[in-house]
Amino acid sequence: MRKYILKRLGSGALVVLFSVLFNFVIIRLAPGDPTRLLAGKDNPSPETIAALRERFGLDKPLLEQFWIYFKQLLHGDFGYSYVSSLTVWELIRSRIVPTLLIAFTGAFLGLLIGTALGIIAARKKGSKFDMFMCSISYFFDSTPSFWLGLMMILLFASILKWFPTYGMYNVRQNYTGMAHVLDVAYHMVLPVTTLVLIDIPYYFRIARSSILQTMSEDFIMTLRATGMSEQKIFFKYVMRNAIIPTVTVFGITLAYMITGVAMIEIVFAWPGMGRLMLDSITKRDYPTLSAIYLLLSISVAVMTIVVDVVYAWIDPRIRIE
Amino acid sequence: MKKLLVVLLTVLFILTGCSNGGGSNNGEGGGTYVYAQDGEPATLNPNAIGDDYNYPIVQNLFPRLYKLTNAFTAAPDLAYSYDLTDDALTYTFHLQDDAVWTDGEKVTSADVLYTFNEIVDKNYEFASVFADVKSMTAPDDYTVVIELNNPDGSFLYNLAWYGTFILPKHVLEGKDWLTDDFNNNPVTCGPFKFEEWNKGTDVRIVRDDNYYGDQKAILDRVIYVSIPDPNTQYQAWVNGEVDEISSAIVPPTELEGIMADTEHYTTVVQRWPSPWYITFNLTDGPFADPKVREAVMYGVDREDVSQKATGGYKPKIDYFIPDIFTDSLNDDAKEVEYDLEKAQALLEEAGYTKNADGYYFECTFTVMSGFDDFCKVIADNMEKMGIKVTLDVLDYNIWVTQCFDDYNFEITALAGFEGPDVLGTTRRWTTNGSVNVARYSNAEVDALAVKAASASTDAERNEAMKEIQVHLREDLPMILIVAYDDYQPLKKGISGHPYVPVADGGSMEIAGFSEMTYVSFDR
Repeated sequence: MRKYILKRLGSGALVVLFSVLFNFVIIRLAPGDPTRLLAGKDNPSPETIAALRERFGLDKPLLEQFWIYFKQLLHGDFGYSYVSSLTVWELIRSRIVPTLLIAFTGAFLGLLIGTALGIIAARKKGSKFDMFMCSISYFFDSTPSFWLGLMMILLFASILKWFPTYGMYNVRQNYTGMAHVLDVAYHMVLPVTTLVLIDIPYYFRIARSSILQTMSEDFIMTLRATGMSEQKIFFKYVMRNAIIPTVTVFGITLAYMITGVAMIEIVFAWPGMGRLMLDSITKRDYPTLSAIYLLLSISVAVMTIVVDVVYAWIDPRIRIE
Repeated sequence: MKKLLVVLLTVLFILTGCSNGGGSNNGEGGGTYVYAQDGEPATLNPNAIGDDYNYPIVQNLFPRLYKLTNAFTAAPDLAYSYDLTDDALTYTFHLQDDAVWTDGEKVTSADVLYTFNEIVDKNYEFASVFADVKSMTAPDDYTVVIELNNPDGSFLYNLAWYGTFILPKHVLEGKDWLTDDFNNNPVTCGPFKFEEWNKGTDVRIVRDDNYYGDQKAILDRVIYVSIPDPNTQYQAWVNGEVDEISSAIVPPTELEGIMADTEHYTTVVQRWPSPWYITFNLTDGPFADPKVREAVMYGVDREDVSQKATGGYKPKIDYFIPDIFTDSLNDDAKEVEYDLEKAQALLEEAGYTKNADGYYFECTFTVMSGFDDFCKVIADNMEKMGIKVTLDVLDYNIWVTQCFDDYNFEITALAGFEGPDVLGTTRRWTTNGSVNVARYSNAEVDALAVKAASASTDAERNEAMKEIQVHLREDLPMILIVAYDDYQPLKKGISGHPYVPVADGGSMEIAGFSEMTYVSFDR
């Protein structure tokens, strides 16, 4: 097992290293120039642009820029954001908790509810419940998240006035302590519900189909022939085999969580990483983008390893291979 | 479990009661005003970089010598008056002697010189304002003398516009304006002072009772929240969670209803010198031929574009400069009325014949994202003339590189502020103009622009501007299509707004563009 993990760690590190180089080059190859935006739209002067390019070191050859960046990175320094007067780390730090709050809560609830519904539907295959769930899961699966978010706002904020329209907290009130926590929780309801509604169909369909597939395997029939109770077959043998695809999907979702849920964050004006990433792309904020992509590649590499290890733990056949 | 549910529901109802109450004036004091923008400022340093999201905020935090109002006049700010010598070369600004920074230091002429010199030395965004300045001196703590090389009628307006806010020398000297922590936590001198910046969410400013102005701010606090999605922003405003949104956020489909609902809203309409226009590649491709450009002027029905692309809210424009500069308009060098036959005749004169598909030629219309509808209707008009158009929609970054820097386009469209005064239009068509996308270059026009800028009387300047329009009509580097009318709905119960004329209870002529000093909630 240790050798297995070490091997995975080694390949993970290589992936991260390669992605640092790849991201650095690819972002800079994209058309558009951050200094053009910083120089303003109404009166952009070539002198201002030249001064900014020099200031950010963009006038140096790409290779030299990369070397400077790489040395910085080895010191754990992401540099300064071009567009915000903060270090990239400060900028990311302020966004990561809000993002994880809704993304993790949403994904976790989606996983629980979706998988539970999938299990029930699989056990009652062909029932009215199963048919209803299957059709509604297609509906939510094909619904764009920003549209669903807007509908939630229209219904629950504008018409029913049950929940706030936007933001992470009520800006007019300066709640502190427990009241602040409750206020944030209250503001989380609509974005998290939207996320959950979008996530449920994934977990529902994965759980349902993998359970149905496992239940049709020969060894289940053999177990049935031994006279073992359906309850025991299901929880001890079906579940254990059927859960692997769910673990994969949830693991990958967790890996990408670090870059947030951009569409939901934009619709609900939630101060998360997704918005930061899209803003940074629009404004060509190279240092911030490089850092976000680096975090993402680390996160994906780590989560892939975690998922592999969890697999090996759930299914001994994998670690023996 | 039941108990928990009851507790949760109670909390929910309490919170609901608190958040959706609207009506921001809670109890004593001036109340809290929530102002929504679709993005977050990059910095609170008002001079370092172009930042549309800090502009509304910094106008309440920092003084300028003079400030530009929504009436497009320059109103006194840190300077209570100025003298101009007869040769129009030397400005002497007299500063308020009771202005203090929030850390207690006095605001003096040394701050003014430090700020302006730093802008010039480091080439910050509005360094061009000082391009023709010969010297800047401070005879005493409260006097600043600026001497120009040539008379420049727009100098004061440009100084009052953007990127020339006075900053504290004692705090910033020797520091980097792009990265210093001042940008996140500034020492200020304005009707409001900085309170807090919750990154990604909101910037808060509170009334500064030590403000030097005669009128102290009335509101307790202004919160600038960032809501990127226009639909959400509009709903938040309708639901009373924010007090003001930008006019661009209001969906045109809702505007009619809001304007009719005079019980709840006042809608302020103002024309800005920011027309939407098309411009051409003058050296390569089909539009390099002036006859083809003239055909486009005849063949694009500006009224049709106004109706279809803006619902008629942005009316067609008939001149080559923004029509709010009424005294400078040349009625003998106007854009022509729509005439399809004439347009096609011109294309044939230019040597084109229709092919089997009924087209004279094909072209690519390079579109800056955001102008999609506008360009689509123009393209439809061009198709009717017999020009096959492919729309190529680009995001701003790519557009600016491709059209501006690489001059790689055939026809494109843009807009933008051509003020503060009529000389602001020169940026668009003088050889060295900073927004001359067409790379138009006409020595006579350049000479006339210099003449207009250095004119000693308004009549002389207007004469030069009118002559310029004759050249613009002849050469057609750009064709203005619609005027920029801004429809800003305000909720009833808000007084002193800078968009509303003083005579109607606003502060248009005495406050900066987005200055909140005079704004209050009616009791």
